[in-house]
Amino acid sequence: MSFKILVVDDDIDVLESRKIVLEHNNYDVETATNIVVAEEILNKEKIDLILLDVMMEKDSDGFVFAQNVKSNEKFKDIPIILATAVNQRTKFRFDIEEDGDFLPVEKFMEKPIDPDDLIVTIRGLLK
Amino acid sequence: MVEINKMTNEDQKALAIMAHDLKAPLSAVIDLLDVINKGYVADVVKIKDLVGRATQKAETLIVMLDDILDYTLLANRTLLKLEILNILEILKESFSMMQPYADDRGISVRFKRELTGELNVEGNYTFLLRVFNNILMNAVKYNKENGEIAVDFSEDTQKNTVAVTISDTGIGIPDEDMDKVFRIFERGRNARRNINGSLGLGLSLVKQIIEDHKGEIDVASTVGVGTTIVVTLPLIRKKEEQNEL
Repeated sequence: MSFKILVVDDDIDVLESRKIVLEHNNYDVETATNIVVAEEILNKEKIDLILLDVMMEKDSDGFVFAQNVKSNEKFKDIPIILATAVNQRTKFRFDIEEDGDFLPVEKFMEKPIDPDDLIVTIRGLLK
Repeated sequence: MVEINKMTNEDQKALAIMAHDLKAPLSAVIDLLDVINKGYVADVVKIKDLVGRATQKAETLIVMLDDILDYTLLANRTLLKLEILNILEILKESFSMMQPYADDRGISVRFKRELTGELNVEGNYTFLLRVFNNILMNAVKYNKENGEIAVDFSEDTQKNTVAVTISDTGIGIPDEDMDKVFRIFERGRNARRNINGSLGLGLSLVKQIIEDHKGEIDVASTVGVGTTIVVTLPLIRKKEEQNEL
């Protein structure tokens, strides 16, 4: 059985490109353009990994959703990749070493995300 | 321009937000093209669709960059070419540019009176057109589906001004956000991020332009009911009227 990945991003073009790359690699894909829909999918489907944008309708939507997932006993073991367009060289960067406690996610990736790197990262998390 | 080492925290924050808002759609363009480039899709129809999406996204970036260019141009007012302009002609032009977007969302535009006659102001054509484009586009973007936009104008002969009123039946602006609507990079809490490629420069640009034309702009809004914007500009008397004096 293939793994099911939930991709959350308010940009439908980003969703489309991620879907193509993930399906090409035989993952099942669910997409959501906001965290309300994402939450509905999470409650309905068995999700194995979440690829999550940070800034959606509100700047903090991605953080809020990540916190909700990780504080829920039922979902806390689902790995999350947080995708952000925030420049890693600025002080606004996110780093798993520094921000891991504050943001309990498994991986940060800076947009644009190389599709090959994404697949390598997902394979690492879904071992 | 501000020297980098003299930038305030506000300036730095504004720059960081701008960089983020430009980087997000640019990243999406790269994502779309990468999918093709790295061989994830072979179907020609699908490739065409992805290239079309990338082109559209790149066009939203152009809109954002135009906003930044206009903003910097406004900072140097000597570059503005001033001429005598009929404000009603500018309104007409702006309306014709906005109409396809309104039609797309089933929004009707009602002119309370016909845009005929001559109400002349001294100003810069491109920037005054930008004022009404921004206001009308906001009235479309933040309206409800099948909503309405009402446009009206009135002349105050005593003050020698013209007031253009544009009302929408949209989401409205919460009271607590009213003081922010004209600030650079601010969008009301009700306004979705990045809708149609916006940097949040729109209304701050509008206010700056109106003030540069010695005019005023007022906003009244009720959440869930709509927003009314009134632009008031000083009129220039026609030659024959001036001769009569």
